[in-house]
Amino acid sequence: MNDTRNGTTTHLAAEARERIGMGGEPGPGESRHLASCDLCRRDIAEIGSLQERFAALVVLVPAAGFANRVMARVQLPAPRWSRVLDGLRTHPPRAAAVAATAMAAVIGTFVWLTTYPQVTPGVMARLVYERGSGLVWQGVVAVGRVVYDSGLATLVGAFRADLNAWSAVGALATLTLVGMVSMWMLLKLMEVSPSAIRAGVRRIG
Amino acid sequence: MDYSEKTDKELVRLSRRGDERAARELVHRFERPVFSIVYRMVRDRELAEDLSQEVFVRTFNNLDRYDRSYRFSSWLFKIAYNLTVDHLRKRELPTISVHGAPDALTPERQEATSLNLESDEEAPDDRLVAKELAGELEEAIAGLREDYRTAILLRHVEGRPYEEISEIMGIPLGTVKTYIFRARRELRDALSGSNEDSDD
Repeated sequence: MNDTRNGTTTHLAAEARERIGMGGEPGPGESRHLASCDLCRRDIAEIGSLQERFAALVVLVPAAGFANRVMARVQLPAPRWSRVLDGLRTHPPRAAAVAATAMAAVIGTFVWLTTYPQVTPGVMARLVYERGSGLVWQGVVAVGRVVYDSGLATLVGAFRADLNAWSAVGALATLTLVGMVSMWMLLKLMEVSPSAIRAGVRRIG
Repeated sequence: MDYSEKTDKELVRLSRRGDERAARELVHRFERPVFSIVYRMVRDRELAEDLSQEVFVRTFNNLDRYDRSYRFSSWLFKIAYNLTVDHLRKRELPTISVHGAPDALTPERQEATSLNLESDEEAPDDRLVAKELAGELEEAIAGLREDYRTAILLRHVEGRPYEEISEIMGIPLGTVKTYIFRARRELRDALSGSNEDSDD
């Protein structure tokens, strides 16, 4: 009730009158005001009546086949697989590399299966997973060992006595910044706009 | 994959990857509201179909320019609004005198370029209006200024919030409120006037 008319009476705000006129429920304060204000009640009734007339308008629909006519004129970007195929078609060395890799994989699988018939594809997949995860784990351990051997851990330990709240905040801020920059780069790679605030919807045409 | 359950933004993402079914679902989802607004603006079914088609074609052919921080519907309606208003303004041009073009020096040339006020195409009173746009309210809507008409249709027919109407029409929020307030007042006056006429 923050709208003043005639300089003497406080009425419901225009937005509130519209909301109620278009079917919204009045709040307790609004109901009290409406009980004693003819002007607001009349305004709300008028908005409600107009809304009812709008709701009764004929629903306008385009002629049948509209979507087909639109789609016949639209040039959507080619699907990803199609773009990959196009890329291979236009870059023969890339196509040759992919073909060679595929051929090596097929021949390798054939040789493997004929040499070791007891190794079924399922067994092979399990072996690949186990060896793969084992390799990852060994890699992590190896990196840890290199860090330890290089004396980096000892170096950080030497600084530990000098750590205080400010240096911790500084380190946290740096890490956050690095994280945000990484996220931004990732979003850019995924073609997602990193900035939620852009000026206006751009005009086409 | 059930496309009807996907959000507009998901469908846009798929369309940008070349998924035709996603684009088709977007057309089905918005063909009625876009056509409805355009038809009520131009009041010519064939022209409204052509303009609506053009709206979708431009939308899909420019999907890479769509800013995903905005609603897809806002962007689509904005394209529809700009295209329709551009068309209406172009239709009013070139402005010529009823006595002929300004550069017409001879009587023959003046005759050739003078505006024919009896033309069905240009005289609104004589224009054939489709039955679907008949009725007091439709007539009253047709009598509104084009920006009032767009604002009131987006608000009362499409139920768009003020902020979205402001984005679509590219005008400040306060101006949208003023347009809608004035449009309602003009409609109320027109409708009460037509009721009085019918009472007489």
